[in-house]
Amino acid sequence: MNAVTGLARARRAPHAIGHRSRTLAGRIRRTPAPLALLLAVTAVLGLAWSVVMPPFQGPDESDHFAYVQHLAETGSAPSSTEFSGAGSYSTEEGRALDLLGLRATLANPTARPMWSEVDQRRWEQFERELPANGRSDGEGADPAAKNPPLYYAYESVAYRLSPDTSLFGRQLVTRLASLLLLLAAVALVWVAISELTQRTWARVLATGVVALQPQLSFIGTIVNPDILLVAIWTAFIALAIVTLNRGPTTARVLGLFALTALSPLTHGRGIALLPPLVAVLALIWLRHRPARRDVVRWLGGGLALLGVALIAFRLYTSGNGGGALYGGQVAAFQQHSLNVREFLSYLWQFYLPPLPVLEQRLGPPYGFRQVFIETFFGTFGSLDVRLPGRVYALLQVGSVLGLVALYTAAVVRWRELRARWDLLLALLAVGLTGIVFLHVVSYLALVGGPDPIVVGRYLLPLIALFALAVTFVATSLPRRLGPLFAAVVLACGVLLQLAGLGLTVIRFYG
Amino acid sequence: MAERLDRHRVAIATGLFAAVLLVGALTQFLPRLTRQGEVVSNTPVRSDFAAVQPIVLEPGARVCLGDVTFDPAVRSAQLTFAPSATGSAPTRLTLEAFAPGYRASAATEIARGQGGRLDIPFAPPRRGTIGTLCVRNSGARTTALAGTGDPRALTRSAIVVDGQRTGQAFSVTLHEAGGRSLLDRTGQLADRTAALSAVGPWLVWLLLPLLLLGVPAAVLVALRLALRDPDPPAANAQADLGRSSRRDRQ
Repeated sequence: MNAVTGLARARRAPHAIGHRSRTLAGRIRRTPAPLALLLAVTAVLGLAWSVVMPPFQGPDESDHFAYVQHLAETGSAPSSTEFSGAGSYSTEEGRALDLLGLRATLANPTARPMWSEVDQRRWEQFERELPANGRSDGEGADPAAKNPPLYYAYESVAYRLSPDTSLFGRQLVTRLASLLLLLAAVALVWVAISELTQRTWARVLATGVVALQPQLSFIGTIVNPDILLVAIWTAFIALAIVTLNRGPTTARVLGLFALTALSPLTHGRGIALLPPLVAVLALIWLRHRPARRDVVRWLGGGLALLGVALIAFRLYTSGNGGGALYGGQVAAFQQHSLNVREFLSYLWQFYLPPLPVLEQRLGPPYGFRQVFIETFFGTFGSLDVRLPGRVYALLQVGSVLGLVALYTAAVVRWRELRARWDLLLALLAVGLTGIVFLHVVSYLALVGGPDPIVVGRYLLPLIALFALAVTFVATSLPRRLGPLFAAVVLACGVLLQLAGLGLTVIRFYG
Repeated sequence: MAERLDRHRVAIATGLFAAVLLVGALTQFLPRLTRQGEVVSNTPVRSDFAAVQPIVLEPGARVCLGDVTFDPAVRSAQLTFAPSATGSAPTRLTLEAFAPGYRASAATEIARGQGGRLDIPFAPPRRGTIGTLCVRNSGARTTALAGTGDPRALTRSAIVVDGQRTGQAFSVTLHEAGGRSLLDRTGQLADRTAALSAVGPWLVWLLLPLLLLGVPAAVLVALRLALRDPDPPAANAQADLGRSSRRDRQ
């Protein structure tokens, strides 16, 4: 099958597509073979991560699962502030953490979970004798309960639908529900890049970069709202590109509003999608000059969507007795004021060595290497499974060279870029807003304490931009070198994935 | 001519892809997979790096941990001495392990000035069981084991005094016989992985070839299929960065 067909062909000849081909089966059949292969790779890697990572060992996964379980069992979220019932975890989850050593293993690489037969038998007996309320009594305080409910509501459906009602059965099913979001994100990157280039190998490169990013695969196969945020932001980026390319329609513009409304309903960090929405809408208007009547209609509908989302969120948080607006991110803005000079000093020292004229560094020596390299490319478990130091060093060199190459390519292809100033500005708006927001939150956290808060997985909602940047560099190389560059990048992705999985096996079961 | 060029670039890209994987596998994976090392059986109480609590043992004193799993493959217990334990005189430790139907003990001399870790071999049970592990200072000098008071480390085992759990424990790791590489232990690793998952070892065994062969092959096939598609003409301004001419109408 010609790989350019599928989505691209469907766009060129919309009238040729019959009703039948619009069905799901028709869409699946039209999936380009390279995309289908990359989705299969994502699924296999995701399944492997979800099996290899012991229960509750992802970042705060025990808290997130406790939220899902309580919501699924009782229909209400646990409290984020008040201790009641069995506490943060249900009796079932709490005993699993204790009896099977799953609490002791968190963030401590000397500990192993209890895998022996005798421990398993004891656990199975405990599950058989679990009291009736043993799954629903984790009433709080659960730190994850300050998060908005969207992801947890999605996962609670998976929890209820699980054919295996044991704790680990349900945990695996909720992890696999996360994997569906990861698959959606990978497919959306294909949609985004297909709008930008007709070179199939470039589409494979961009989609492969996302499918093979080990940190994303890991986060996409544990119970953690970050993966829904990734899917929403990736959808927003893809839809923004489609809308700027082809012009606005009611569905497209309202889609952008809807995604922006869903983003803060997923996580506090999701609020950072609001400025890019404003920027993209302005760019759509500048580029396409839609009729005033349409603009009023779209804005009316879109603002209503955002309003409904905000009201739903406020009702929800006031109903469950806790939860600062947008997961406490906004509260941080209220508690500390931004000192511009100090912020710029922090920003400089985040990326570059300190200068004598700068103020003393805020917080620990934590910056570009830790956030953009180590915890972005691959730090697994509860930050306790790390790639070898030389691998991080190579990734850092590669990333810096990549940035230089990106700048060079932008200069060389400036006329091309200038012709698509709307796309360029839209993508820059998403990327810069996401990164600046994280820096401001991190700075405000450091003003109040020693924890910089930000880790590389918080950059994953921008993974589509990362993939587009890598692909832009590849397509800027001499015609013969681009595909070879793609081959090397994809091979490195495979190696990183296998290394991450292998190190996880050694850390927990070796 | 163009077709030959395309075939050429597919072949080179395939070769590069395979070469990177091969170099990575040979230089990074293989040495680690074939290296022989110690094999953990169980960690009743983990080591804590940040806040080590010394568990002081006067001559004749005995401390016990309850709820310790003894696997039939266990061969030794690894203890760590607190920094203050490195005294000048030698002393002697006795390890006792017992559970219903199982009892083992072993004694070992701590050399003069010895610090750090110490492995004490002891006899395993015939089948897996849960019991108690004790350490007695049977020498004449006070010594101290490295321990922890972190509640997260004490969810299973803690020092029991007069039948009551205390808020601390000495760190201990139980080991199986060493001298086996990860490659030798593939079956064991699959079983351990499956033990904490809702699926059986069959899925782990199914995933192994899929990961090691299927994933690289699928990525390579995707790339090869893509490279067989001819690039759009270089002059085509629509080749990259999209176009505005394909504007849809509402």
